[in-house]
Amino acid sequence: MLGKYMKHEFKETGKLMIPLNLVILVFTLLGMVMLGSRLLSTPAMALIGIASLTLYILTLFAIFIVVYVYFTVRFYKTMYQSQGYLTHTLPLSTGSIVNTKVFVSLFWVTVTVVFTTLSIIALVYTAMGQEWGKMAVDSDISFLKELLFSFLLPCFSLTILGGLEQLLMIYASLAIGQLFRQYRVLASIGTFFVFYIALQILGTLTMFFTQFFSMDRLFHISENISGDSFIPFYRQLFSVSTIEVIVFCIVFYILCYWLTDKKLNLE
Amino acid sequence: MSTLLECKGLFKSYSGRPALKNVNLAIESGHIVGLLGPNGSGKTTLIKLINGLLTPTQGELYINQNPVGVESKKIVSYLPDHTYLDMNLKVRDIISYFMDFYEDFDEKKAYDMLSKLRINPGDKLNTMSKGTKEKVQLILVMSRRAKLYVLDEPIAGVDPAARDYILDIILSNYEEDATILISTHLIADIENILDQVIFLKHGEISLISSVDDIRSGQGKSVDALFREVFRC
Amino acid sequence: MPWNLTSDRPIFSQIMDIIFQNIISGKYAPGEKLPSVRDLAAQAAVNPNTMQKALSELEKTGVVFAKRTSGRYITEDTAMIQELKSHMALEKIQEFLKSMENLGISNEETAVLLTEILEGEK
Repeated sequence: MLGKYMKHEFKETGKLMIPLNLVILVFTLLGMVMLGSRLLSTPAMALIGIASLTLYILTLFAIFIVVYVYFTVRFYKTMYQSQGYLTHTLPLSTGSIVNTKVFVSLFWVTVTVVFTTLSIIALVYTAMGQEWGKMAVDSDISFLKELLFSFLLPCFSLTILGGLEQLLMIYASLAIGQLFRQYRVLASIGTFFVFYIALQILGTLTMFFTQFFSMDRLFHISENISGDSFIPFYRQLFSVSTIEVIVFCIVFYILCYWLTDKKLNLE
Repeated sequence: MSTLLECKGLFKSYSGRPALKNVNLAIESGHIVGLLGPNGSGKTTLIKLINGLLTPTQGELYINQNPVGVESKKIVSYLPDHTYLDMNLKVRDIISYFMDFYEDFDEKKAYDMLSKLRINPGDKLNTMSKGTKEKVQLILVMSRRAKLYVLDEPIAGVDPAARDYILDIILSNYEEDATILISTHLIADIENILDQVIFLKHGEISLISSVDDIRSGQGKSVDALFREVFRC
Repeated sequence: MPWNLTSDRPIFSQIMDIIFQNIISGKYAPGEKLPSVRDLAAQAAVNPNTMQKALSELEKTGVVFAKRTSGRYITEDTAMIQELKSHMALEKIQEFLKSMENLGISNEETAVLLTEILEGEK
């Protein structure tokens, strides 16, 4: 039963998500062709190159906005508007419904992040491939490993976790909005802003305190950039941030689940 | 005959405002029951509670001896009083959706009823008139072999010919081991197919009776009694 | 088309009357098999339990009988049907005389009026 619901959700969401990601693919291929063909060496073409780059960046932003807006609207429509009468009378537990929605939306966000990342890497590599090859041979392997594991991988997982946190924050805001008798959408938006501001404040405080506790390292940083103190600082920051994000994910999830299970009140 | 729907001391309030007070009910299978009352009497609240769209403030609700949950949803077929399907879907998509989730869905019956009404399964819902959409929803609900059918205002805003047809669908799908609960304020039109009625007044049950008892005992139709009980 | 039922009497007894009339008029032939309770109820647009009650009562009168597994049948006893016809006719006449009385027309006057009308129709 859960599998069926997930199957239907993927089918429906895929109708928009797959084309969106194909757009990224197409732009990437076009970009690779443009960069690889050395067409951009002349000043006139360079202008086109910059215009294309701007378009590319804007498109990426737009795609991410579309993804989040789409899943927000979809969640609201199928959970709390008239389609909610269908969703909540299916022989599915609240957990199945919420988990499926979270999983499917997180899946597509991750796919989009991965596609975007690969796209950027592909384009950058096409533009500066040879120089990278030289750099790789010259530098220290252990530095690269450190870079990968202490920076790039945590960065990536934090991005995904952050995406999950965003989604859960949106869903929890929508759920809280349902507690009001009138102006539910407004209430959801208000709740979302409260959450957002709270998280921003917390994020800043975290950075501040992490710096504070590695204050002596901070003083050494200006002297020694290559890596000894830089990476441990970021490692600490990542650990704390990751824990925070996970905690908030859990809080938002519980809010969303509990409100949907016990406080559902469709119009 | 088993107790299909049971309410014990059921209360529901919305932030202090009581919508249902001390509802005690026991409905057996094999009946067509009218849930009658003016707008705001608590009919919709009770229906939402039965379908798990609301949780009670107090009291208990059992469907076929089970509390409201995944198991009860398998045997309850609900027709809300508004459209609740994804309008971008085609009729046959919705049928396969229902088939996936409800084991008791009879695909053949659904297609039969659709063809009798000359509704094309390949049509999208958003291309249909309001009346046709409502008929599609009714067909979906009645194509399930459920134990409890809950129909919320199935004939409100419907022309007399369509009304006859809807009542006909309801009657031809009646099963002895199932019960159909119809919530309406249009009593005269539906009275003949009911055999039990529940009057809800200001969130409380003011009467539970068989239609025969009202007609022979009180010598009046349910409609006439309703007008008395709910005189403004 | 749903059967014509009024709101003041119990439905099952109205159904019985309608079925009696159908039998007398020949619409339901002697020995004919009746549709199932469900189908009859749908035809009449009434609750199946109510139809069931009507049919049970009809069985008691003997005008309808049930064969164990195959359903309900109209009696083949034409004498009984005749008697039913006479009985219903009598009822209708009594009703008619009563309504004439309510108009202030005596039975003798009614008889004269009747003869006139019947002669006129010839």
